[in-house]
Amino acid sequence: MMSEADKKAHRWVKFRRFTLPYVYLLPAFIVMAFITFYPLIYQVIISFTDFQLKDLMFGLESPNLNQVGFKNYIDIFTNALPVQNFEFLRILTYNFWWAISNVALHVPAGVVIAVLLNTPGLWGKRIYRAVYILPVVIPPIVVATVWRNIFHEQYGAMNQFLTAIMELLGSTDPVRLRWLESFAPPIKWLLPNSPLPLAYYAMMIANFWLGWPFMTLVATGALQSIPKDLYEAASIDGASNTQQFWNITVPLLKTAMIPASVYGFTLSFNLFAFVFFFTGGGPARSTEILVTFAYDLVRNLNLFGVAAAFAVIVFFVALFVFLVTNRITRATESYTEA
Amino acid sequence: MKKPLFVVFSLLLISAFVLSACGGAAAPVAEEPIAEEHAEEPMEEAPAEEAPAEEAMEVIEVTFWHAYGTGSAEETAMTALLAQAAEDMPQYKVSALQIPFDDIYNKYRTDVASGAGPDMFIAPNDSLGDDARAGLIADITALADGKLGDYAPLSVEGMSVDGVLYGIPESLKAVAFWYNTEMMPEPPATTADLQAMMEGGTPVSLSYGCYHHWGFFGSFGGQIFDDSWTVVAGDGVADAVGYLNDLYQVSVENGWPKNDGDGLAPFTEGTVAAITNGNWAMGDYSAALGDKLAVAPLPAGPGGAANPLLGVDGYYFNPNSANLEAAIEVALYLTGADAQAMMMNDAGHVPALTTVEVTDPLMLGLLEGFGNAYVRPQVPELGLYWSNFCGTDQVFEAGTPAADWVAEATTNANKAE
Repeated sequence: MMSEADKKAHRWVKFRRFTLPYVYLLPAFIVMAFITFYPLIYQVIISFTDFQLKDLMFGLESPNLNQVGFKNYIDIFTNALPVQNFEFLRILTYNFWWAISNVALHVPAGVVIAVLLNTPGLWGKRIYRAVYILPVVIPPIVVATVWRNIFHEQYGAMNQFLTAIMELLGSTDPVRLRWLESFAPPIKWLLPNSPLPLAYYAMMIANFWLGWPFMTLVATGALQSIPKDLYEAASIDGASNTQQFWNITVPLLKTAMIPASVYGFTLSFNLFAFVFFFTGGGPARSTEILVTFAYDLVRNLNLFGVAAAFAVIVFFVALFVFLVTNRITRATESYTEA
Repeated sequence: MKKPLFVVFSLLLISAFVLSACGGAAAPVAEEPIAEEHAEEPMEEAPAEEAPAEEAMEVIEVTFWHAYGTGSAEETAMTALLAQAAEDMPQYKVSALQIPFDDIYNKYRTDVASGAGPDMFIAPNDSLGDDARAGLIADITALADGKLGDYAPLSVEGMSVDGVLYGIPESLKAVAFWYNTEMMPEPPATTADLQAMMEGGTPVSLSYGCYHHWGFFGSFGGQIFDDSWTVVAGDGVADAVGYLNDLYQVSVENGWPKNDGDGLAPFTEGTVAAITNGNWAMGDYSAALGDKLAVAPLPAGPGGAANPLLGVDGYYFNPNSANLEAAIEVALYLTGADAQAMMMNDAGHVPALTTVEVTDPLMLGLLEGFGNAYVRPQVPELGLYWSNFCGTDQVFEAGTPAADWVAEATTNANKAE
């Protein structure tokens, strides 16, 4: 039987065990309180007001600040903002399509390139791996500016390249595709409520250059962790290279590629700098994504309250995306189980 | 034994975070006098005979932002002007910082709202009304009283909101039609002439954008606002947008530049005959084309003369500034007769000061165009134009009929009421 002193000591140990993790977490919480939670809460508060330039100097203390309830949210959902050519559902649809189509292209390409570069006996593997990481480390504004110039109607390398090809095929007319300006969708039936102009395809090309190296990097790491014995055993059993790829490589890559795909999706979904500097959301807001529109509301239109409401909506959209992808990948399972 | 130590260390670290976060203002207060002592002590302790007279003078630093593009004629002229100011006003140290034009207003606003920002900045009066009403620009009515007698009343009016003065005017600016006399001996007098020229193959770099479009509304008898600032864009504006759409399609077909940025090189290199742009670009055009450069008003149309937006560039002052009077004195120097003559000759600025003699034919041509200009109103409703009439891609590229687009823009703009 435990004495009173032992019981006290036991309770103290128990209390310490219970509180210690929170003590360790406290510094992070304090920092986050200032740089994350405070701006978030402030944003939610101003999303229920008509906060504009007039209130910037005094913030929530501004004598001109009016509470408007859910008006900002209703105006966004009903397209009633005093902003031309704004349709919330169209932008949301395009945003999802943009993220999905990018991931659908980057992941298979990344895996295929990683498998090719993983070929035994291939020379210069280290150089390839160093070179293909370059797009990942170049700032998005530089990438967007360079690619914007590449797609320039008159002086861009893309039209010059296409002109050279057309010359080989016997054409003498220069190619003058208006990549970033033309509104007419080349494939009319694709995404009917948000027609995809040439600018979308230009962005896809540029973002492919930006996106596949990361997927290749992840796939390369995962490929190297697959035991070679499996391939040897399969080979002895008479499996062809294709069968080995589909039955060994692909299933064992899934554990690494699914989280990478989710990361790629999230990144593309909120790819602000690239979209903003590449097309600015044009032509006619057809390549606008949620975050670039929110920025436009603040920067050009000074509708801070509406922009805050828009950002809150973007948060819930992102939360939905997170919950769905988290269910697919079980990314946080180990933490919740502990 | 180690665990308790670690816990103590963690608690100390947390305390340090809390104290740093809560007591941010305390440290500088303790440090500032030390820094000042270090700065001032050597001057005080040095023997009087060793200290030059200039060192004894208190030098006030005036921080100043501008948005003149790197390497542009405006930036070159401003740099020279500031060098001259340093010689003429040794009591002031003007620290200039170039901010990209697209960012200058937002950066200024956020800096001022957080208690910082430059002492002054120069920019067009694009958003003076909004900024002044928001308290982001200092009221200088009393401080500048009696000092602006020689400035054009129009320019002083452009620096004022509801009778309160918020800036020192520097120059006037509006969009005009610049042409190369070697390629285009006579400018188009009417909108029909311009269309005929472009359709006939004369390369013109027309700038398509809602700021540049405004002048054409007058040519077609259109107006955006009525007297009570309600958006009433109707047939005249729709006709103007339809006309601009026709010209846009000609530009697209011929691969001609469609904005002033893209048009700069072709115009200065002599591959396009004309360009529409504001007089801020005159220095660059003049340096490249010399005597071949000429300017005319935007063409008149069936509705009358073109009426481009007339803006006033001026120096504005930060309400947080501790050197407001010094900044105003510097601004008055930078807008003085010699300074404005320099900016006029080297950068194409149309002086706000009436005592500056204008003899340059280009300047006289600009002033002719300014006669019909629409003075940029400083009312909050002007924002409705920028948020609803700038998406002309919808007409030019997506094929929406101009009349429908204008009607939709008008409806959207009036939703705000």
